[in-house]
Amino acid sequence: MPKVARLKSNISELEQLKRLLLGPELEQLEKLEAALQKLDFQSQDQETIIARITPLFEKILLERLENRDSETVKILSDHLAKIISESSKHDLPRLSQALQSVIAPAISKEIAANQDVMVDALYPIMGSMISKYVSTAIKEMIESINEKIEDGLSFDKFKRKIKSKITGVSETELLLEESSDALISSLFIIEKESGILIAEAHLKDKEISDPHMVASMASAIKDFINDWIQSNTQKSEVQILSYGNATLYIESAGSVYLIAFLDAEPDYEQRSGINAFFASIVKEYASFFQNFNGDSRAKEITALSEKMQDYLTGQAKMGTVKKERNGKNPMKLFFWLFSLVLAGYFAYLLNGWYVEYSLEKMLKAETGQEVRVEKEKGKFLLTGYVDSMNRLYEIETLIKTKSGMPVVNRLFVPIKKVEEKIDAYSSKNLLPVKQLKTRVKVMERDFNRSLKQMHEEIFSLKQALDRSQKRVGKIKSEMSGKIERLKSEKQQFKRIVEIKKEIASKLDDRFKGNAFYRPKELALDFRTLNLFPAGKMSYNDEAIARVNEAFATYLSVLSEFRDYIGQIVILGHSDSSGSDDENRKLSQKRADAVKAYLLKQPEIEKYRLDRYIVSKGMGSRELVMINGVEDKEASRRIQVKFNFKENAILKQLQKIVND
Amino acid sequence: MIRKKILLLGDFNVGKTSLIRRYVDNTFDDKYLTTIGVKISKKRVSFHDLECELLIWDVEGATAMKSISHTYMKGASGAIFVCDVTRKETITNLDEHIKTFLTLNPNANYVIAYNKSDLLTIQQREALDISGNTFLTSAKNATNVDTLFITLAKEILL
Repeated sequence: MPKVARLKSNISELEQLKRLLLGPELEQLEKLEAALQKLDFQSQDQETIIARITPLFEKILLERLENRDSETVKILSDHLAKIISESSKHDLPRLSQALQSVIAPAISKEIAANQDVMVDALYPIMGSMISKYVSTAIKEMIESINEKIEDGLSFDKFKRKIKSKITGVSETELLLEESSDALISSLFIIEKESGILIAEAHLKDKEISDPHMVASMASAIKDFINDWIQSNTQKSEVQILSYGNATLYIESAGSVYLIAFLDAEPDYEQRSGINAFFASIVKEYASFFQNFNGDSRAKEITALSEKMQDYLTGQAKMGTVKKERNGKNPMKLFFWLFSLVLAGYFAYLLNGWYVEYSLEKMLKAETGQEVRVEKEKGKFLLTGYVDSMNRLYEIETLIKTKSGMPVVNRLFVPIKKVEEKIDAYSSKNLLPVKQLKTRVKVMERDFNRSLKQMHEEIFSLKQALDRSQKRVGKIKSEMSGKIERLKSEKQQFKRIVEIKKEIASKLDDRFKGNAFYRPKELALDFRTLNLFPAGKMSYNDEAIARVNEAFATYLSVLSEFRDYIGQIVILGHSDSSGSDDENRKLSQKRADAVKAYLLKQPEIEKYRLDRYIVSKGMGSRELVMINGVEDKEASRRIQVKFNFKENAILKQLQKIVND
Repeated sequence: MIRKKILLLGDFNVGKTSLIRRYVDNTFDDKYLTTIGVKISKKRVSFHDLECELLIWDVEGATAMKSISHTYMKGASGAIFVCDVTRKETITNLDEHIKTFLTLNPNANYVIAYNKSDLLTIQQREALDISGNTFLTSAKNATNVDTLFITLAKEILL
């Protein structure tokens, strides 16, 4: 804006100012102006004259201010304040902008030049202000903590109380921890010795530029610190590196270590979480880590990075959820819970109503019956009227099939309907009474006839049964007699077998090494004695003495079993010379001769076995053959055998057994 | 992408950092070197269809008062041992550095840089018996700097 115009707008103030400041000069100027008007400026207008004079005026004002003229300063001060006040009323933004451009650099300059002075000057205002804000913030935090501590019956409260008891950490500290979980923005898995980055993961918009260099530098820094720690005779490793808000949490395992980039130092719980995740990674990829050769194209790295990314995203979400949860009002939670329960109840009712409605509709469509279906205590209650009993059961079956639930059937068939049904049936099926009587008579006659036939058949069957019973009785008594006899015979047979074994044992014992004794046959055979000359019945005396001796021994054994012995047989034999008849007679004579001799011997008499001893001629039936040639001397011999009394029984038993 | 850790080892003031600065553009600020004794740089190299990123650990040079940290040496696939051709003791000390390095990394490869070769006369250069995995290098005029790193990378990867 041109100066002239500005002056014009503030003309009254300027005039006032002029008169105050330049009173004498103005008077002189007025005089001069009057003179000039009279002299040179008569033709000039007033504005032209002011424009010519103003520079003179400004020059004078400047000189006075530079000389710190007290009067001028005083006047300016009063009027400046007034001008600023007025200006702020008319156009405050413009005034602020004008002052800002001057004041801000001036303050900055002053602070830079005289910092301590400025601090002293500002402290009473800024210090108390900061203190107030901090106090308010702490107060609000404490109130919040106290509210949480005093918070009603929340699960978190009990959880916190238990945790406080176990760990010994106060509830307030636990609450502070709850409200300050650090956010992990990046994760690195780095090979421990080489410092080469194996895998990385970042939250969105939190990527680290040049991660491989960062990994290497982090390794170098870690190694540097670890070297320093170990040179101070400590065995531990660096775990936390912090700078400003950035924190690196480092955890080593095997050939690798993990770096988590966080926005604050992680608490114990968070470290445990990171460590657990890292442990799972190391366990899964231990072999890969051991053999890692710096090749980032390995397929394991892709899978590993995805896992790390999932973990990062998960913890970020958890953090958000935790914050949201911490910020929730218990009343709100209760309200939502109540709303949820209410909604669930309505949904349940609605569902029940819908099911009932659907079933009723289905019954109407399929059976044409209007029936009420209600769900009650896990069962479907059916009420109403149906046309017939068949419908009644059909509906029940339909509901059971469709719903799979038990049914309480309270459906009715109206009496009127039943009567209608009966009438309809009667009119359709009943015959005239006369016809019915005839039919009954015929049926009665047929029945009586059948009954008579049945009686006759029963009688004849009863007779046959009696006969059969008698026959069975007879067979039974016969069989029992036979069984008894068989049992007795079996006992005897067993005894005979035992006796035979006993006799054999004793004979074996007595005739041990005797050439005349034949163990298999339990017999004596004197073939080696040359007892008889050819064709003669007279025996050799010397030989017969030996027969006697052996026979006596034989009898001594048999006498102990006399109750079981049937016969002791002396068998006479001939050779093959002569006819069979002659040989039979000759052999009988020989047997008789020997028997007569033996019976006279005192050794035989003492056993009183005379009645048992018999003789028998065998002829030439049993010749003695040696290598296919008859030994005639041997054939002319005597044998002694015995048999049991029960020989016949034995034969019979053997027959039974064989049969 | 295959990544390998390599080391630059040698006495104090033999020109290790200068070699890296010549070879690599992308480096961390040097203040890390003075703080923890190591400066890390990276360089991508390609040959025979193989692409590799070298993570180069410039370990603070050894002095009579301070030895090199063994922790930094671990896990390296290769190393460049640097000496100053104008200082005989730095050449003599190479054996000790190599021995220590191979004790910690028995399967690693290495090359040797006789650095500051620009300070030698032509006759002196020709008199030196340089062959195999040893190179006359100059960070000042870039002599053999690329060859040094590429040779080591090939040794490691092929």
